[in-house]
Amino acid sequence: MVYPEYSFPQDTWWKDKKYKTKEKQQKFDNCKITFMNIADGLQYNNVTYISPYFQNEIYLSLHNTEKGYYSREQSAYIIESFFSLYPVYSFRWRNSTRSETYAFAVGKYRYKRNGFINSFTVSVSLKYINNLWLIDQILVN
Amino acid sequence: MHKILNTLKIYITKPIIILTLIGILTIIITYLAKLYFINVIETNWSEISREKITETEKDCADLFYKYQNGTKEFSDRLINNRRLINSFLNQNLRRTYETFYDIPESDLYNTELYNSRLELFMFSGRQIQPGIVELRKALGGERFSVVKEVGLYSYINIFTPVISESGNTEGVLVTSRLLDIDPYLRSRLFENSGISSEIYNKYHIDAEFKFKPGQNGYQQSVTESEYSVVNLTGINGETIGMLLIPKLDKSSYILSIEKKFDNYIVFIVFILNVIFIYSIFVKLRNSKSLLLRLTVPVIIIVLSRYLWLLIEFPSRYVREFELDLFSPSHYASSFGFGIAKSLGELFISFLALTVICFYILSFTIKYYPEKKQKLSKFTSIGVTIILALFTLFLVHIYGIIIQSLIYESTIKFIDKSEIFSFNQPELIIMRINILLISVSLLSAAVSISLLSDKFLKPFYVRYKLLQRNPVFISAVIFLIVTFLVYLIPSRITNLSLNFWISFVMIILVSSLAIYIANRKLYERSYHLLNIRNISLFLLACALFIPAITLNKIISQENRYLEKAAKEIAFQPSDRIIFLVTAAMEEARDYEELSKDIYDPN
Repeated sequence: MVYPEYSFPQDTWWKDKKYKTKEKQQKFDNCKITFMNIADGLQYNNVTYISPYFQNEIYLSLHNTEKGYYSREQSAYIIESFFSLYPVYSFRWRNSTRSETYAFAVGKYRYKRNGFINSFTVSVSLKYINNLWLIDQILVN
Repeated sequence: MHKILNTLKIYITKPIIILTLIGILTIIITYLAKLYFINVIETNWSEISREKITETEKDCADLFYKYQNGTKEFSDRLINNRRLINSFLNQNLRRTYETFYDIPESDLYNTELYNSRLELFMFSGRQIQPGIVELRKALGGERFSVVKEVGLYSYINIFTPVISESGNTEGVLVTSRLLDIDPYLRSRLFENSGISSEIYNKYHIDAEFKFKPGQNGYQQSVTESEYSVVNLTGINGETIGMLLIPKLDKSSYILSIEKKFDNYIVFIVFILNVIFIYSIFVKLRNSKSLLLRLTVPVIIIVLSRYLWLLIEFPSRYVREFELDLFSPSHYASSFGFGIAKSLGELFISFLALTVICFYILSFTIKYYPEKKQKLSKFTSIGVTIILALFTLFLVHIYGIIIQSLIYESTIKFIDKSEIFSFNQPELIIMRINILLISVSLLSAAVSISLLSDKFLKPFYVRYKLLQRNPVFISAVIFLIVTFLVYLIPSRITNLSLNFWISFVMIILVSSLAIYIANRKLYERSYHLLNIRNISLFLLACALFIPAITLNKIISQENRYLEKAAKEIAFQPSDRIIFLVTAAMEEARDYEELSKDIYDPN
């Protein structure tokens, strides 16, 4: 039995599993770290936490933005613009699933607007490319 | 140091000092007012929030009553129309319909008429199919309103008894109007219809309506503490539903107040900046130093551009209205620390660049024949070749910019159905941007061409023909250099534009330079900014812009084909799972849907 090198507290949004090989355990630990960093980016309205995980083209479907594939640079600016239009109140992941090459998580993004707090559902999917978990799609509804 | 301070003294005059002081004072006062207001909000939050929420509740409820009253008024109009009622009482269907369609706004509302046996006599619009209990209640002589949810839609219904002249209830009139659309579906298909959308557009809040009472009535069915509840009453005073409005949040409210003050401060900073630019331009007119007159305005425009970017002017105002102009979704590039991060920012940057290039050109024209450079023949030709190479470099950069504008934008450049697409305002802005960058390139290249002539002039002064056609020699050198550069294999030079486009551009630049130099010879006070010159620049742009854009669009189409092939090759199952799961997760939030799934009825 191979034990994981890193251990995380049990989160409700992420179901920890034990994998047969150390490599596989590491792979999914990285996946969790990626989601956690993305959550930090959303929580602090800081795109620099998220942009390192952008692949060359990302599918974005953000509120009030034309949905489609955007380049890394454009995606960063679109998310930055989204943050300035809808400043965060709180963010947390709610659920996640993962497979060998694909992972996704859904969370609730609560934002401040005109004195009120409203919320969006944020869904992020990751793709496993060249031993890295990279963002494939971001949906905000 | 002393010299610099003396130079600065020339430019800082009394009016500038007074205006600057007024501006700074206004900014300080605004900032202090902002702090004061925030303090007031923090101290009296409960009172402020109560006032604000009462106002919002009233506005939202009024919106509902507007719908209800409108439907009631229409119902009144029908019930008071004796001809319609008599036709109905006489069971004359044809005449009833004829009379009904003569009534104004009959197409806006759904109408149903039931006889005393509660059989449908006529209907217009969507059939609401009211419940038998409600029809009986109305037949009993009571007039009331209810909200009925039919599938994905909510309708406000007014039940009115039809009373004959003898005073007996002979039927029921039901009028209804669409009130709202299912919130889950609305966000996807009906963006701006329904009362919830109207409330969202006005307050940016997700108000919820509940028209299905819980077991113990309406009030008890709300468990959320984050909402304030407004009871909605029907026309007979009974509660027919409730409105849930998110409660006001202190941090969010303070943020919205801070934003308003910041917008004001930013506007003052911009006005100060404009006054400063104007003062500097006016003062520079009297300066004797050519270097200062050339460099200071350019530096000030560039610094001002970055200042606007820093203070987010004017994007912060445009963004408030959720307009697309400053959205990076159409175009964004990280070039120049964000000066091209959206179509609007790009427009301002290109406008500033055009002003700079035109200023440099007018400066070059003004001092064109005055100072002749006396260098040796070989040095002069060498300098001209370097300037020609620099012009080619500018053309290459121009090609890269156009490529970036086409490749990195999501705008549909060629719409076969219409030549001038007004459905895409962003395309019009993009075309203006391309025009601005093209005019900037031409201005800069013409300036270089005129500058190169200064070095060559001493050598052709003896030849009358060349004297009458200045810049001709440098034009020939420019064309030869272009030809030679394109002889080098493209894998080494990797130029962004092909030979013919570059060649045509150099010919146009040279022609414009020859024309301007020629006019300058015969006109004592020659000005660049006149309709003829602007028309010539635009004409020159019109000759090469379509060729370049078409060339780049064709290359982009090839990229699309590659991308499409990649997409087809990609295993879509994971992505489909993602989309389905995301949609299901979203549906989980929607209480009504899960209730409906479990409800066998």
